[in-house]
Amino acid sequence: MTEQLAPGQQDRVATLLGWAIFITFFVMFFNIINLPRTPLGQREGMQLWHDSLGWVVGLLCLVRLYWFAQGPKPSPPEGMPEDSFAYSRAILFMLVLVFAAEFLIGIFYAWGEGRNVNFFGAVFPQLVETSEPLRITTGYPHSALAFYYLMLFTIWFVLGWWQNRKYGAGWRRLFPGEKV
Amino acid sequence: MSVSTRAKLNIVTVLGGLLLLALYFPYLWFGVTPFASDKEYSDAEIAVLLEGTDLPDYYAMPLPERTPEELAKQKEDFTWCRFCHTLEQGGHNRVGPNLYRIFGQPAGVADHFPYSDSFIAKARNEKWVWTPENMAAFIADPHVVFPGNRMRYPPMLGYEMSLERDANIIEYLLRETR
Repeated sequence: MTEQLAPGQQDRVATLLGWAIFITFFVMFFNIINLPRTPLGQREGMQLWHDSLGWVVGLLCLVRLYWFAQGPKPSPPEGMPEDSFAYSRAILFMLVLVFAAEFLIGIFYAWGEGRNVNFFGAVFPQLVETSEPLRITTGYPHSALAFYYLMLFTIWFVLGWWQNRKYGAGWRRLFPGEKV
Repeated sequence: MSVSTRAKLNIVTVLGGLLLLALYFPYLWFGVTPFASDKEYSDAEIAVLLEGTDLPDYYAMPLPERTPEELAKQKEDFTWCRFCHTLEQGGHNRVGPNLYRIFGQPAGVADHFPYSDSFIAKARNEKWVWTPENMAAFIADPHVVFPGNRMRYPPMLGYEMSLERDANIIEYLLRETR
């Protein structure tokens, strides 16, 4: 795609996907924080929300990954070198990739523990046999990647703060919207 | 976009390094591993591990009468254990092993649970069996009783351990795993 974008701007599809992923993940984040703090045996309702929102975030991220490859490429805001901009783009790409990976791993984790995956009450049937090795080998990275995206959030904001200070790149670009 | 090779290398190093660190975190924080054990214990193997012990059937012993408030307190005191352990028959191992009918069992016999080598070594060398007394000693100081084991306990900063709390945990376990 050869669409020409103004410096520091991204296209409408990327903007909409950014907002959709941000809002859904923001809602899901409270669920993610509280789910492991809820004793086993009392998690059913929260698990249903976790699965359902996970589907939404995961599918949106898969579309966003496609758009990273096929959509127009933004250029850095005025005054920011390409190298510095590349750091921001790499972190953003990695965040979306990790969310998509969490979604796919999460499905296999649920199947590993013998659980159907829910989408707002509609049940996506178990396609893989319940298995302790599958549960453990998917559960571990599902947890590890959650730590990873917390690290990515942190360096996203630290880098953004530094880029704003050094290049006057602005704060808005750290949140969803047209600015990158 | 023309990004320098140096920047690309930096990005790969930073993001890759953080990923490696993140992959270590569940072990560091929760003591979990990414691999299940394929070990399943037969009744015969468990009988061998119990040889020479003469223990009562703890689950045939009557439990003390408790008021609803006392039972609620026991449940509350057990809450943190519930994050990692299932209690019901056939329940999954989670961060910790399933504890169904734990009392009277040798230590370290939950099928497929990846016990640490140090836990299994001590359990087998000392023929450790889960009696209420052994359980009390264990949860009072798990890292002294089983050095090198991976149970993260106390589970959080500020968690107050006491003999009363431990007694409640043990009685709750006896009630709920029968």
